Amino acid sequence: MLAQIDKYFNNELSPIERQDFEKRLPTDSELANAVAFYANTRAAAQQVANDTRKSEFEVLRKRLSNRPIHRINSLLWISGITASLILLMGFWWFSHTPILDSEVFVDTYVQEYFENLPVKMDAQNDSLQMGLRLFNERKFSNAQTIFEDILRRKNNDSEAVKYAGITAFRLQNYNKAVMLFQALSQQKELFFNPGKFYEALALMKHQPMNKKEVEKLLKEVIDNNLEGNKEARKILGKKK
Amino acid sequence: MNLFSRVALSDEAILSGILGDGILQRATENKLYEQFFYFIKDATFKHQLSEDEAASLYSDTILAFIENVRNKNFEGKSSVKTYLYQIFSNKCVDFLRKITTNKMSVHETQPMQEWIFSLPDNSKSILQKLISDYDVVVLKEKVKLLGEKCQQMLMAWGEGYADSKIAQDLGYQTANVAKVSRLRCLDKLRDLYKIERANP
Repeated sequence: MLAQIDKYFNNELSPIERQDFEKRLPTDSELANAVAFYANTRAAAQQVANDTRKSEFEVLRKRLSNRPIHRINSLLWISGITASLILLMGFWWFSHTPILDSEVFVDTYVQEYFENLPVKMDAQNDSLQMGLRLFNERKFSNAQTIFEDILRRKNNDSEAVKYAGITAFRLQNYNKAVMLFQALSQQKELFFNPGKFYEALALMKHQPMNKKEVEKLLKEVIDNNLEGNKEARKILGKKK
Repeated sequence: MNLFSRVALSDEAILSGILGDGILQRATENKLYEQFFYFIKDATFKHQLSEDEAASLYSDTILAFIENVRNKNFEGKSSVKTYLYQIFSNKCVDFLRKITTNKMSVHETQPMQEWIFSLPDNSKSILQKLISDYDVVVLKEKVKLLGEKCQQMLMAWGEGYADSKIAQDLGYQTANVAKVSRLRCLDKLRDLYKIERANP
């Protein structure tokens, strides 16, 4: 019944089916109830989405509020503005559309993909799964210990390397994250390997001024069509 | 090369970013939030709101703007900044009016969704009654009990995304696969809600 209601609101019913649906609605209490459920669920889902987004904005607000304010004297202002104008003209020459800065992009990516890691429900005693559960409970240091234990036993376990890298990233140990993602990217037998792209993300955090190396890594991701190439294109501002 | 560009986003970049896919969209929304963040400080002086109150209204403003862009209700007749400021000012004034006239309510009534109005007149009143019988707070709680994927999917649907976009963002092969999964999630939610109502 929900499938039919969905089709009605998405205008996917034929005119006859639509007419029939509307005719049944005032007399068929089951259908009317299902429509009410559908409508309320959509509203509830939108509210959950808004609440989630608002709490993410709140985190962003705290970060922005804590940002240091630098006071600059007027001479520096003038030279700064002049330099900015020259730079802007340069930017205009290469591209007419300003895009997002990489830091915002990385933070959003982390918020989206390094927030909750996939846990299998039926693997209670698996140490990798235990590490993932601890990660999802924000016990990053404990999770890291478990992932590193696995690596001590089996140093080429690609899953453990990946999750150890992500955990190091969340612990803001970017140097370690870079090394772990480097190790992951060198595992050539993997079908999906995000190592190189993750290494670039970690490097952006670890050495924000090392743009040349970051660009090199992102270009490699794009040129070799590796995992993350879509995102890498966006960071480099390349068209598809 | 645009990699480390820190310039403010143009209106065009904001609009195309909001309508873009997954990460680009999120990043644009965050950048938009950051770009007009100073509105919060302004409101604390102009409307004498606390910083937390102004920040909450500012978040609501950004969300309302995003929704208007997605629903094509923003026609671009004014700049993004002017449009946002107008929404934000209205929200501040509404908020102050509610405080001063003591009309703040814990349980706000659920605004009727636009598409309900597309139903025939003879069904509308019955549905309005049935809709008000549902407890949206309980439904929200139940949404949060669903699996991660179901939650993401229902939230995206609640935000008005088409199945094709949901499929693309959440990694389903086709829009139809996403739709079938979404309907399964709705079934699960309905079962959870029924259990709650039977054993409150």
